[in-house]
Amino acid sequence: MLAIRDLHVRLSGRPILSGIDLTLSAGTLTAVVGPSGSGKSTLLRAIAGEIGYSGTVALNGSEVRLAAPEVLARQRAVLPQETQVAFSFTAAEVVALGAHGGPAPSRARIEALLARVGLAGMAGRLVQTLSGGERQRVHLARVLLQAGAPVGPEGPHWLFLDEPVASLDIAQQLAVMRIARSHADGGGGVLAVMHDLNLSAMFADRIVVLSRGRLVTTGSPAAVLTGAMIETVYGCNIPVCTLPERGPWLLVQAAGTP
Amino acid sequence: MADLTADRRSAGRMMGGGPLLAGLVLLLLAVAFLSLGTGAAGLSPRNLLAVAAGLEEMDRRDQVVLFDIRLPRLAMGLLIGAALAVAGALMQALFRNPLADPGITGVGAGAGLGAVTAIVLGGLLPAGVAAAFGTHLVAVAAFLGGWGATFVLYRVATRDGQTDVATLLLAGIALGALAGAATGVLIYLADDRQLRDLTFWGMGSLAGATWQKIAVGASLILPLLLAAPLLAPGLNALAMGEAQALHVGLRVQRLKRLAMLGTAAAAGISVALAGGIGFVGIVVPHLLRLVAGPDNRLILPAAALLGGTLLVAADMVARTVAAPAELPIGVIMSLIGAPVFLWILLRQRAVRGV
Repeated sequence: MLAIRDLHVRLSGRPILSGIDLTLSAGTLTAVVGPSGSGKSTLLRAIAGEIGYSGTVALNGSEVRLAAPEVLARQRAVLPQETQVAFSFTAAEVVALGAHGGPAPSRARIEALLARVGLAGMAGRLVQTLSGGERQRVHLARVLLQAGAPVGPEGPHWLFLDEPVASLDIAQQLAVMRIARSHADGGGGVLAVMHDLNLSAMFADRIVVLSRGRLVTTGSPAAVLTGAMIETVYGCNIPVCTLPERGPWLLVQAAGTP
Repeated sequence: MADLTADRRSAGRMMGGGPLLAGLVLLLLAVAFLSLGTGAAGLSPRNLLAVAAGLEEMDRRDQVVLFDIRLPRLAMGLLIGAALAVAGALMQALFRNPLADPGITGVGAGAGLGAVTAIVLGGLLPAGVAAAFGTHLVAVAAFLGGWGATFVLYRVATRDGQTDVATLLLAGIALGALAGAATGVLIYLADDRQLRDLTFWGMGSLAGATWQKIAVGASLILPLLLAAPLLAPGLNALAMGEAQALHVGLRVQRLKRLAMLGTAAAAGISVALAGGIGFVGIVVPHLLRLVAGPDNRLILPAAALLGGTLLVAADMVARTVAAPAELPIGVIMSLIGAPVFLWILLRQRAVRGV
């Protein structure tokens, strides 16, 4: 369980997040959506233990702010929007960094993870020579290595993913979201910052909407993703229809049409 | 293992870790032997082999040359070279930049200021204090200066337990300038004899090697060389950035503090014992990364071996090109190192498309 109570975050004296209350259960995939600058990434960084906050963030029962890095690392793995690796490490070497502090992963395990994210045969490539989408998936493989099984002896493992599909083509987007979905279905927790509302509707159990550092609303995709909400939060008028068995679906019309 | 070999080829690396370390040990032994058999006073490698095989006897003069001049000089070169290269490798991993070096963080300049202070103002110390340090006064002062610079640097660049690398680098530039200015004032105050001492110290040399100095250096440098690889897994994680290193469970602040202390100690001791020798810390780790990749578990021990070898080789050149006169080793290292530095800079520019 991830329990967030009265979370406030200030960066350089400016309030970025105010009064966030949110409880997430393991076994679910939660998509955090909202306009750019609404505080989505800051929320992820705060609950990852990366930046200071006031209020409480309890991950599997212990306060994130007070937890030692190596303890947190066994509870959650984090995929940032972008990771710049200094020096010319290979994809396999970067994936292996997910096992920091533990026994080195086997070669077969690394290759299996790279294959899982669609990078079979890329183990020996230098990360600096990969495309943005390939690099992001190398780091996803590293995150999956760190997270391990969805549920471990110390409780569920959490994945915190910041725009995991941002630089991927549509097939890769689906593949990555399926990986996140299967982690949640296996009993692990997933919180993903998302821009794509349709992908969020397809894969998330729950949507959290942030706007200007505050939690606007949260609930199932069908309850949250309405034309009225999108109009209020994003300030644009987009028709939303409901597909049978698929829930809400946003129809983004070509530019120039009313 | 076949897969790892394939990885290495695909990554453009020439060697795996085992062969590299073995090769470096052999190279070190070969260069050490050549160095012992090279110098203005005769006693060639052939003489040495003959003596080792029991075919020749060394006369008294040769014994003095070998055991009181060349051997201490070799030991000093190996120690200082290893310390400088490891200091560079640590600092580059810490700053996530192959151009980082103790020189740019003001550590070298701070140590230099300490040494110059001792040379120029050492006479003002109470006689008892000066006598207690004796000939080691300059060394001790350089060592303290290096530590002082590191301490100030860390206080300036660290806030709320977070060290910002850009601030650290800029603070290093400012500290270097400040130490340089203070050094300038002291040089202005110096008399002619002190100026001569300053000039030679500043160019760097292994000529002052004595067994006593080596004992001091070894007792500080060897533990550092052995401890540095313990930081390697953390330094590898740090290559992803501080946030990502924290995410995988690294105690980032502690690692950074240890890496900085290790760097300051290694660089400070080197400056104290051998004066300003630049570029070893830049050239050695860079060459190793080109050959075998950036894994610090390999780079740190390999840098110690290659750093010592390179400095001994440079010293051999310094002693022989103008024999019986001797060039300062710092000049030789700068001649090799500065072009390499520029080459790395150009490569980085090409990568970034600047």
